[in-house]
Amino acid sequence: MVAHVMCLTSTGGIPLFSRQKGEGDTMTFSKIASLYGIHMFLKSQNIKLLNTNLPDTTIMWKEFEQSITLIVIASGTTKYVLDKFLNAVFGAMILFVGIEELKSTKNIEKLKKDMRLCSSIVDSLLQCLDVGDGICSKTDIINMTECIMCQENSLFQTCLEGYMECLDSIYGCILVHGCLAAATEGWWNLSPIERKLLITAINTEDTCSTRDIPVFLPHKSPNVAFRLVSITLINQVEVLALCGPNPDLSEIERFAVQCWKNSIDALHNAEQCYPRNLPASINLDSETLGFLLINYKVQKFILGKNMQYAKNRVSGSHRLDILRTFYHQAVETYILSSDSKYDTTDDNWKFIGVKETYLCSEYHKCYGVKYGDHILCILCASTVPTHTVRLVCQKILKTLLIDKQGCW
Amino acid sequence: MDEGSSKNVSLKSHCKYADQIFSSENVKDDNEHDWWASDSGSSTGSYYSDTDSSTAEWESEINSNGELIYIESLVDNINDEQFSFNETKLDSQPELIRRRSTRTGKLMRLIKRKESKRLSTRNKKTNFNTTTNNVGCSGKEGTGIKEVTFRDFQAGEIREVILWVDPDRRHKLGRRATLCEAYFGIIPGVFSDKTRIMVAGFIPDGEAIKNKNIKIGDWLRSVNSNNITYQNLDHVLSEINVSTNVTLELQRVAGVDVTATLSGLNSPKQSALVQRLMNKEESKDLMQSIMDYPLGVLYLQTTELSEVGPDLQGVLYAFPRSENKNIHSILCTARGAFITLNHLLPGIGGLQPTSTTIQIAEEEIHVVYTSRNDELFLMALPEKCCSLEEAVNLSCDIVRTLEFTYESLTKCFTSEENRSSLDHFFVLIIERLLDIKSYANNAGLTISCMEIHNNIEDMENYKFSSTFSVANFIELSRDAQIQIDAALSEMEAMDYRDWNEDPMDCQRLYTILGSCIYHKNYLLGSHLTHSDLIEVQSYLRQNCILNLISNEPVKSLIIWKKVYPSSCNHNNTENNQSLVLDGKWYLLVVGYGHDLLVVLLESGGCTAKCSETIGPDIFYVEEAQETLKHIQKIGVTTLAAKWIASNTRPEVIAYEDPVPVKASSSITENLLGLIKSTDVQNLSVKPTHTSNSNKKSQEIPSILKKRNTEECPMVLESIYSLHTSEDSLSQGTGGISEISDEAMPILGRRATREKIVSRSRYSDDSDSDLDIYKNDCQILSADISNIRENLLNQAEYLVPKVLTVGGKNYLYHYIHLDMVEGILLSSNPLEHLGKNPNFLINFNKCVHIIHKLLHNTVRFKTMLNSDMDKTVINKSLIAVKEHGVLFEWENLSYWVVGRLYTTPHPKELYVCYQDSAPQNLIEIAFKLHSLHTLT
Repeated sequence: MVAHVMCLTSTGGIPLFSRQKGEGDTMTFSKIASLYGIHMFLKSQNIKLLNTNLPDTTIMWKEFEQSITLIVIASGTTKYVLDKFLNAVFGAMILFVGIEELKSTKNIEKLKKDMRLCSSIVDSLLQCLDVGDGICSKTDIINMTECIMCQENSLFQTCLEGYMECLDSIYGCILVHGCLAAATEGWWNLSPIERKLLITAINTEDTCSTRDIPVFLPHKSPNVAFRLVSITLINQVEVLALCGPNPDLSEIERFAVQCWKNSIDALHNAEQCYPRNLPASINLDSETLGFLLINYKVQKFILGKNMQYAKNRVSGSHRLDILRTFYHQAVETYILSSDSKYDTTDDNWKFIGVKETYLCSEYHKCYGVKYGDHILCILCASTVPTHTVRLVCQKILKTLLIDKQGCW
Repeated sequence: MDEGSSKNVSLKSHCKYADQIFSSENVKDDNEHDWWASDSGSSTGSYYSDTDSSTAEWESEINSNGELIYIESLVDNINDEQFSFNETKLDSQPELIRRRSTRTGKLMRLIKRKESKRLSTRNKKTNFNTTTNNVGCSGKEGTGIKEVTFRDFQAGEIREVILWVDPDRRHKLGRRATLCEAYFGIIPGVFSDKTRIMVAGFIPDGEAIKNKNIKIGDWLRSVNSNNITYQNLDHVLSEINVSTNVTLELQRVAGVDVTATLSGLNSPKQSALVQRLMNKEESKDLMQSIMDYPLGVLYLQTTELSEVGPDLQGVLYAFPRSENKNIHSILCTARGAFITLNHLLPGIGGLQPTSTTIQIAEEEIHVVYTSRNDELFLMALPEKCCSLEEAVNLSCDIVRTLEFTYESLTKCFTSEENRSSLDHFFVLIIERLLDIKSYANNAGLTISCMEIHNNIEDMENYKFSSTFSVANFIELSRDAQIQIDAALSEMEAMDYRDWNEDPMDCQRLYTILGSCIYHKNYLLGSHLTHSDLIEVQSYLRQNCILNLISNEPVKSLIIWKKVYPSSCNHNNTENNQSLVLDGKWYLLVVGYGHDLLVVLLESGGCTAKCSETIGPDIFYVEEAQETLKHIQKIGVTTLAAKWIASNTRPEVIAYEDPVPVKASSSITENLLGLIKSTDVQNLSVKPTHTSNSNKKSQEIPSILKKRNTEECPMVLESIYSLHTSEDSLSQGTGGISEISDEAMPILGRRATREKIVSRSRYSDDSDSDLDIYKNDCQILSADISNIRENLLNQAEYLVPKVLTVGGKNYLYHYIHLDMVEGILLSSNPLEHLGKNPNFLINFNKCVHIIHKLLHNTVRFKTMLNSDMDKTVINKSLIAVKEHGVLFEWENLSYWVVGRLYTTPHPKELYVCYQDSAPQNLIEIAFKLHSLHTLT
């Protein structure tokens, strides 16, 4: 149940940082060095070492910009997820120091010091890995933006756009309990990793009402830093914006009050949506324990549990964890392969036309239905017949997609 | 023959009687079994015989280790015409000639041994007659027989060759020889157009072999300016009466000199595929040509390596490798990385690594680890030919085969003499996995390379059965199973006292541990333990034997090999509890046509000591051949062929068909189809036969069997001629009423129930028949034809079984995996889905993904309690029992679903069905298993 991530410089093999998740032996320097050494040796033979499998555990190597080598060891998860994870970790490094610093390091000690900044983000990225221990506090998916669907979303959208105009920026979003409720079009145009990192950066910071962090965007702007400004509107509701050197923070705060003061009630209502993450108008069937709605093109998801059901059962994040595992292990394989965009080589077989998939275990059933770019996975008790689960799943998907209030 | 029986006074009286019966039919019988008679008749150098006038054809092929691989193809050759095993011919003419039993066969052999010389000359006489007879009908041959595949280009260099011909040599080679053989020393063959004569081989010491201008594969255009065709060859040659020079005109048709590939002058006739399997020289060239390609096999020593060692330090075996000492494969130069990983990772993850994926020039390569003590077996395969899971399992299967044949990997790879066999072995595997020619830079590779790499379905099939290490099993009807079991049991029992004069004098050489029988690549029956079966299956698969036998018929195949079954504890040296002290195990494979019989023999314990290098004992080989022949004779393999073709057990629908045509929705429909159609495959329900025999059985159960068999042909006739002949209608008692719609109710459950009753009685009867079988040879010989008719009748009336629920049949494909027993039950995807290989590949890929998920459950269940806390299996996946995927493809939606059920041992069922009524996988599994009991 341990996951390790290690970062070394490619040229010298100097370890920059090493983080781990879960209890277990820490990686000794000699082991890290050996793992790095193998990668380097094969590189000298013009062979790229991609990964090594142990039963249930995978080790993956990846070199970035010919200057940084990342190594991850994790169990219970898929290679696709690990690959995304490594990209995200490297993105986190860029986020704080910029690409130039990483590419041509002059002062290793300084770089090491800078890397401490991103260790908290790396830790929360590690939490996104599905290692299958069933004890993680919050179920998150590494390369997707977690959203919340509430009735007030369309109102928020209008407010947000007004606010962004004041700030003269196109990148802005509003977070409810760390889940995205509404965002500008520009925000969705950011790469999934950038979105993930920016939100993670805000969520991992200590609770403070206002933040102004300089960030490099791994894809959009790896060399020039933006300002990531977050203003807490009410408790657990924040508004995020990426902006240039102007306006200064106090002015931004003033704009925020100006734009949002009329929507305070709506914000409170939206906050109540959590952790159901669905508007009150939509009711899940009583058989459904939880759901996971994904738009795999835009890379966003909503994960919610059926509160009715959860009341009289031992519940918790474990259930939603199952849905995530189901998505990674059973759904993603087919979806990704049918979508040529993600293919690394042409030789790979593609599953064409996958519509539905399900998984029955002794204790529960998962069912996934794909419609357009959307995938809905639901979790049911094992006693519900599979064909009923299928109908329920199709019905919920229809309801969710028709409902325009949610602004999905 | 009279002399034969009179010499046999020492035999028991009833045996003598049987002998006479046999002798009366021997003449016509020999005709049919010539292929066999020529073997047994001449193979007198056996253990029990004191004469050594001649030896079996294969005896010269035994190598110094006493191992033997002898394969003779049914080449489309004039001399072989008489032997050609033509299934279609057999089918069209139901067996009328009485078959001799194994028992009478054994008797015959004993007699033959006594007077072998006489018999062999007599055999030759018959052979000669049939030769001339069969030449004419050879034109009809060929549907079931693979052509000789020399490239048949018209263009080519024409050469004139002058040979000295002496008509006095006419009979030098014996009477069997054709004129062409006798005069020129050329073994004639025909091209695929059936008229042109090909040089198929040479007679040692003949004229032609001395002439370098005549090559195998050449087209013999003319003799003394007379154009030669297949039909006029003998005629033209017979006109040569005096010793003279003859001008032959030959044209090279194959672009390649195939003469070089023939291993010996005396070699048996072999098709291109067989030659490819046997010829190790060609593999050597191929191996060198793929040096640059990142795939291969390495066997390494991982300890006692010094920092500054020689270049190939620790490499015990490398494939591919070059003659040139300075060129190594990429895998070889990078081996250090894998050794380090293998050494390092147990300290990090706690477990041995299974595989590493590397990327070389945009191509992903999977390197699979298998470590044995301090040594490491590495196998690298590119992603484009197999996925990671396939590579891991394939490597596992290969290691199993190697350990089965060489005892351990260390012994396998350290012995220098194994090198060429191993190279050959791996080349064949690589060849099957990917189109090797596109990587081979050497343009001079011969055509036969292509032979082995065949269509995509075969490749999928090979990969699939390799990855799961399963044998494709067919559950034939219960009667057929009983016949197979009886035949195998009789052979395994080796109870020869009835005909051995001095049973006390000869201690057995081997104990038979078990045997199994294949038709093409389908397992028909097995008496092997599970682990033995899995190993035998791996051996046959990885050595291309199953590939060969399913692609083309063989005239004769004999393999004798020392093996090391894991069940016999050979690996377990630490507790030294080998089941049999000094035990040695041998694998004997005999084949004829499309059928294989595999026998696992043990030497040790109660058997006589035998020298390891002596080779197979002729007696056991013949015994196995006889058993296989017996099984063929009683029609089991013909039944199997029909069974496979019939697509009824259970029925699957064609993928191309959105609306299933053959769904047995209406019984009247089926009946109409039955009457109109003469095509066996379209026959479905056969009510009359069922109820008829059933009625009879109720009236006179004591002679049920006899009546039954008498009745069958007539009933059959009556159905076929229903709308034409009044007479036959009256013969088929009750046939009319039941064919009408009124009879519908009886076709339902009641019919099935009654059928079961009659079956159970029937099988009881056949049990008692077995007693008769032991005591009375006369009845036996009559029985065999009855059994055959019975079995083949079953094939005519296979009732389609529908596994799915709902109004129609929705099943496209199913696979039932039992990895503990090493058995796979599956519909035949090649024929029914053949037009759409993507469909099959899609299914197989899904099966791999589903299997991976289901396998977590199996591993977790078998895990010790103490390990459960430590395991890193994803906790959400430890109890998965079913996984399904719905595809929507070309306006058709279908499910691929996999289900695991764990009692009594884990089995997996994968089905592919049209998306309509929801299916219950457990129900399908149940129906699948109850199939043969409800026959």
